[in-house]
Amino acid sequence: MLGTAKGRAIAIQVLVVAIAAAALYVVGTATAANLKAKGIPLGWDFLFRPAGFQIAETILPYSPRDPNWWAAIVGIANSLFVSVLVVVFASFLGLAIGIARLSPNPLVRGTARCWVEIARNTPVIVLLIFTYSIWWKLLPQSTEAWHLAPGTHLSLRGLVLPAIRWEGAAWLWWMALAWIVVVAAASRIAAWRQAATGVRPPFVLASVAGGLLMLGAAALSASDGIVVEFAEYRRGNFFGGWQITPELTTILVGLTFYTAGFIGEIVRGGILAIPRGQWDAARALSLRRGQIYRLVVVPQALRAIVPPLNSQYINVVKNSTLAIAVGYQDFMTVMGTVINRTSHAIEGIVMILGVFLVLNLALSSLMNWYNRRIAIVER
Amino acid sequence: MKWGLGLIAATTVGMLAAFVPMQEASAQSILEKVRQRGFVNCGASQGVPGLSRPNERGEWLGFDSDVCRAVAVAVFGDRTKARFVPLNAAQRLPAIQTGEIDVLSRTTTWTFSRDMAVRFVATTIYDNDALLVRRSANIRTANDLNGLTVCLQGGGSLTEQAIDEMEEEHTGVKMRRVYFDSTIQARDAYFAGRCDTYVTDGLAAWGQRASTARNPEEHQVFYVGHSTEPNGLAIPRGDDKWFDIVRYTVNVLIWAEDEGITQANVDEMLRTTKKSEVKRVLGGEPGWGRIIGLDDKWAYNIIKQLGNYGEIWERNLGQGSPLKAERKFNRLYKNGGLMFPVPFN
Repeated sequence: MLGTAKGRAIAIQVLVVAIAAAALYVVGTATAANLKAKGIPLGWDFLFRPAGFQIAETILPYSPRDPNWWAAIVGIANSLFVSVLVVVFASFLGLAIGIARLSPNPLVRGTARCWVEIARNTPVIVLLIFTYSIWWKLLPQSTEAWHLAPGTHLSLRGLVLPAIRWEGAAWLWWMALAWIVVVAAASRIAAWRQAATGVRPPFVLASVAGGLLMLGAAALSASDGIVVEFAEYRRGNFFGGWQITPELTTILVGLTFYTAGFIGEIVRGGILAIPRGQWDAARALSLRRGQIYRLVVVPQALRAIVPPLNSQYINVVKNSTLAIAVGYQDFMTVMGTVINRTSHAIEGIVMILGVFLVLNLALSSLMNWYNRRIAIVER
Repeated sequence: MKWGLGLIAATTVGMLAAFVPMQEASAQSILEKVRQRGFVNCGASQGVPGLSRPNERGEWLGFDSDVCRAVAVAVFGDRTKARFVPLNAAQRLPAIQTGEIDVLSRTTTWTFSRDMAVRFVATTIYDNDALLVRRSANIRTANDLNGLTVCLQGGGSLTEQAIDEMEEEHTGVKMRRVYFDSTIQARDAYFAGRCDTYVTDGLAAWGQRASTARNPEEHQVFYVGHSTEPNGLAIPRGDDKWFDIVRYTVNVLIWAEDEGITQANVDEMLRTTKKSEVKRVLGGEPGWGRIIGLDDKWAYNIIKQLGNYGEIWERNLGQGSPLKAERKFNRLYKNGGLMFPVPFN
């Protein structure tokens, strides 16, 4: 078997895997033995004991009586919530910055340039702490909150808005969903008619306007189902309503500012990668600037943008662990507390590593799938 | 290909070899490691006035810092042979377990579950948990705290639990929490007005009020939680030699106050004392240090360089400091406190 090149190759690979496995085993057992000698116990049963600590802001329902594993999931949800919002905000902002960087208007170009330079050349933790300290200087004490509109208060305690809820009128949501489907269908039919006849019928405008009218009428007729809840002020604090804390705002604003700077440069690079001929051809078809971007440049630029964008998104997920610096409790913070309360540091760190590995691998494969979808199909 | 295999084999052998001395090293006492290194690694706080905080020259000042210095004096006879590692609540126990620090001297409450993870040696301070709150908030009883926002250090500290306890005891009281990575950030957020109150250890609250508040009179200290907590020194588990040194270092401080031995009179006491115990402990009897594995003068050096328990207290927390905190439970047993020395017989 070792006589052939293929046989040798297989033998070597088997050997390498065996050595790697043996090395891992030795490292594992030696670590376990050392930990035991130092009196650090290993095990996962701590996950099922009650967490016993509070989490200030959560997306999922949580109480200190829940087990540690649920606390971890609540933490993951908090991290994901921040990451998803930042990815969405930073993508749109980054696109705008990238295009603005190429604008013929020097003011627009300069502003975008400043943004990119500040975002790219400052440590993200400094940006976050700076953003957080801005609120302290800018916003008034809660006793002197700015009352921007009825039920809307802005102070150091955060932005308080009236909460609007549809109670018992679930069909309104279904109606809104149906409206979106109708608008999408109208857009497809209009495109098809345009291809066939050369004239684009105003189906989209009609369906948007008609839907809005119908939804408005339906919402008015079911107005008893709409509840507007104003926040109540007692001794320096607001109760009820919809409250956005300075901590969550800081992590969103700070990370979005930072990431948008990087995405802006990626977008600019992608746009510059489009040959001049494409622009000239688009202008020859007398497309407007916005149309050129939307129909010609951006779809082609996406192919150059998506792969580097992938690593920016992964960075967002990783940077979300800085949230505790500005008082927002993410997965990392929750696990830190679990570790401190249970003294299972090794297992906790393994969990943190595992969760971020899985999250980022999932994100990567999603982006790779999208990349394959928009890639040029070679014929 | 041959070279590639050789490289892999060499790497594997190297990795295996790297693990062998590690296991042997864990059998060595921390005392030997400290001696080889030339200084004691002390786990410190992130800056609590009166307990442990670096001044503008980077020297750590405070009660907890001085207690850890006493350990350095016991080993080296030199109070400068202590280095301080600032740690937050979540870092402190793993720092002991991994050997990053030799002694944790940082407002850490001695509890059962923590004592199962590290080894608590002695109680140095009995303290309560307290809220720092603006006088304008008009807090008289715990019920007045309902609906207020509290800034605190997260990470599972006992001060955090004091709020939970208080809510459990006073049904209907519910506070809104804002968690931070360090007690310092929580304090700054409180002084900025993000929160109505800030929770920390009682002595730390007095310290922040005295030294950080623009006008201390605007703030009051409000005790929460029913418990008086023992704050102590902790070391890694399974090292009796090091345990002895740390425990009797603390004992020397309390014992000296009980015997009336101070930084100023320690030389005179050694010369004139008629008590054989005092003479022995202060190093007047050759061979006394060998029992514990130290120099004969170890206890004398501690008192000479740092003073007794009462002196360290007064200098950092008491009348000699801006805090002017009361000693309460931290007085000697004969003055109505809980500090009681083990006899040096």
